[in-house]
Amino acid sequence: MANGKPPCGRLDASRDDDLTTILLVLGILLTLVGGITKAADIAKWLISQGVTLGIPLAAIAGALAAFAVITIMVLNRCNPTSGVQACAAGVINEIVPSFDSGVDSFFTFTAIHDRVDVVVKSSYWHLVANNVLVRCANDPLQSPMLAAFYFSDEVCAAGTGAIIGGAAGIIPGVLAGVALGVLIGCATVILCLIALIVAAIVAAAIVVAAAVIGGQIGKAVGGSSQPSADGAELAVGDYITTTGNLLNVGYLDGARGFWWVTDTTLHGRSTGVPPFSHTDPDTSLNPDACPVIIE
Amino acid sequence: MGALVKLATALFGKVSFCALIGAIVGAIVGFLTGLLQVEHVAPLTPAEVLLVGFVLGLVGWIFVLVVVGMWLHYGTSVVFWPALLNALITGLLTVWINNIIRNQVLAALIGLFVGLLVGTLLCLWCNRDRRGAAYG
Repeated sequence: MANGKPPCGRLDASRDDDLTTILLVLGILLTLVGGITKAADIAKWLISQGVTLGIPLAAIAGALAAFAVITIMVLNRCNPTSGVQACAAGVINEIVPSFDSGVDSFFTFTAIHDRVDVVVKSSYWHLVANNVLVRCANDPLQSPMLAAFYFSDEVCAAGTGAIIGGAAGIIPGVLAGVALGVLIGCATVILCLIALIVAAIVAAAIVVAAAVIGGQIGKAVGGSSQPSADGAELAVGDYITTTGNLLNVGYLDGARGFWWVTDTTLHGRSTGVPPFSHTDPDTSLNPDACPVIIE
Repeated sequence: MGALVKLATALFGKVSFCALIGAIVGAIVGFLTGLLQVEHVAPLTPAEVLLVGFVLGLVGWIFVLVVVGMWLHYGTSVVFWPALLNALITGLLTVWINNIIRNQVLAALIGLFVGLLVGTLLCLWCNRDRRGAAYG
């Protein structure tokens, strides 16, 4: 298939599903919780019990907002997203394991699936090209790369654990937030402001702490997995053919990638070192395992 | 979840990164301002508007640093200063407008729209000279 090399770098702004969903949910959640202030019966009952409405609502919103953010992140990572079935081949330029940073190891719900960056053969450049971002290797020819994400049970088990933990932390979080907020009180505007902020932050922090504990338990139960082909663990320099669901991946600023790889064929190993050039698999990976398309 | 993501994309998919950040801060500031109005019925004085706007802007900024900078992997150092400016302007304007409108139910939504506007204007201003910057 004849096609030119796509230009490396950003062509247009990408959208971040996590960020836009978090904004939508926060907007809905905070408006609904704020609406309770107008629910006269609840307000009257609380006031008759000697409880002001602001501090409990701040704590409830803090806890629910934290839980919502965690849940959105996990569900976006572990639910399939529709793309197109595609096949590409090339040489592995880099492997980025899930939980590769301290943040991901601690806040396990932030981890992303194992990623394998493949410098593809020039015959697959049409798969890399999109109108958002083309990622390229740092070789002199700036060879285009496709990301291949491998579904990780560990990531999703950690995420499920974080959701369960976070849910368990909502009620204790709200109670602790209300208790501390009421302790500060609303005697003046400034004190009241501090009480509201403390109630919200304490409630949110307890939910996050519970999610961290749940996430660590889930991660331990999930067991680790590595990107592999036919039982062999993949390594930098391997020639591979990958098949899977291809789309613009938000976690890569909108660059093309497999989310996720469903099938991998290992063909051998390059004698070169990264960063690889597309000329390497063009020369040495023939034929690959993608079906030949006759035009 | 898929429907929620689609709705979020339809509403905010074309919005700049700065505007998303501003909107998140605005929603938080607006919501807390509404609760403050529940507790303190009297309108805030101009000095109180400044103080409350500043403090709540900082709260929104910390939320952005943790969630966007750290959890969503944008990097706290990348969003640190731009988000601070965005959050403080959004915070002050949101508190000021909500202090005039005084509707606790709409307070978060008002903040969200104020943040969208502030963020959009900041992005346009920042990208005036350097198109395609990371924070834009």
